[in-house]
Amino acid sequence: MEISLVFRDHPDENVLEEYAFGRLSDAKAVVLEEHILVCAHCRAALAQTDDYIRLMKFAVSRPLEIPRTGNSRRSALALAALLAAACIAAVAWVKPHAQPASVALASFRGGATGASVNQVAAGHPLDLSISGADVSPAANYRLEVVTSMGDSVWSGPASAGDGRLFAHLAKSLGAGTYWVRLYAPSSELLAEYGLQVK
Amino acid sequence: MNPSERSGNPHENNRLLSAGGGAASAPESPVDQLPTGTMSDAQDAAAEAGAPYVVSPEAYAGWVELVERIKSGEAGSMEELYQLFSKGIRFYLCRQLGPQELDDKVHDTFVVVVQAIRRGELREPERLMGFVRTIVRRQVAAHIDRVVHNRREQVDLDSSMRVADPRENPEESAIFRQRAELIQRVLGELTERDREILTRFYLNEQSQEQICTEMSLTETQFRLLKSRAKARFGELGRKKLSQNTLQAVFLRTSSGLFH
Repeated sequence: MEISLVFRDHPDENVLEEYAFGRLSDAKAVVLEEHILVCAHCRAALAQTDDYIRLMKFAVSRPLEIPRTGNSRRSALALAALLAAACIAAVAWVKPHAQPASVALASFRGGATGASVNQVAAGHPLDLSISGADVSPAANYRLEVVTSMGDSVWSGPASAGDGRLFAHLAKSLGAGTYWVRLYAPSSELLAEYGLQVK
Repeated sequence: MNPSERSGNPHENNRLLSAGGGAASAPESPVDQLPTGTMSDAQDAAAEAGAPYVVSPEAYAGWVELVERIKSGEAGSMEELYQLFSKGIRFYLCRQLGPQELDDKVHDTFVVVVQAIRRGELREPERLMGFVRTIVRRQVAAHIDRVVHNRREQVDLDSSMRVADPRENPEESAIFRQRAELIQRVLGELTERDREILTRFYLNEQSQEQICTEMSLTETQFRLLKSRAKARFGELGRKKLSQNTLQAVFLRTSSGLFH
């Protein structure tokens, strides 16, 4: 006997949002979860809801650039570009060769708010090193630096030597919290280190 | 932490996984116990919960037959069960635990379901959906307990602050950033008050009731704002998509590919 699933109704987006935020009552959540187990349409809708919530969280947590219109916008953009160029030139003149900061990445545990992080000063290129004790000797390890929101800001190879893995970031990172991810040659994520840039 | 608290909120589960906290396994709440009652009981409960999206009675009859065939070990019955539930199980597990080792987790869950059916633990076959759901939730709770336990037992300073990253590769990250920019454009078109409403709802996760009370809004005004923002985002997304398509066509035609 072929089972055909016909639903009288489907949860609307408000119900899906309440479920995504964990605010749906137990009774309603039970029914919703059973429905989603067998309804491809609502699985897709819930996935879209999750995605939209994630985007909104990301967007509203960022400073907002209010769009301007017409000539005033173009003038503002031109002025911003000029100022940016002037700043870059000034920084290059005052500090032509910022010395790289070395960071030996280590993992920490504990604390009510999670792990502590490695710290480094902002405005310097970075020399990262990781103990190779916990990884198999191999070529082609890769490091990636991502922001606390998961945006990739740098990616590059890690070279091995003296029982450690090394990587050089020519660009300096702005102040903030970052994660340094170590990938195996097979692209498997092996380790992740917190990095606080102050 | 009560397993039922690890419910539909993957953000909460990820915090648990990354914080390394959480109590030892707690007794199951009523919502995690195997479902009992008849099909009509289930329908009544769903209607009472204000959630009428249940399957038709015909589907229930099919499940009764499917369960009997699984119990008797009939060839093809497991495949039918798999086809019915595997995508839903995969979706639920991925949403709660992330994409890592998903195939294994889906397989393990499916094996548990079949074994439980064969042991006669499903007393009302028409409640097959609820039965599968309960087992999936138990698998999620067991996995979280294992991760928390392993983290506590680990003394080696191994970096294991692994948070399930929904963005699996740089391309998806780039797409996410692009879409986030569109959202920011939408937010830029709103008044500061409207932006505050959306910030309270999406970032601060305040409830509709709280926001409406504190900001003197009606439910209709609140829902209208949300749906307008979403619609505008969809509109900008479609515009961008058509621009990208046009640019791609222009580049192809200018390079002489279409002639």
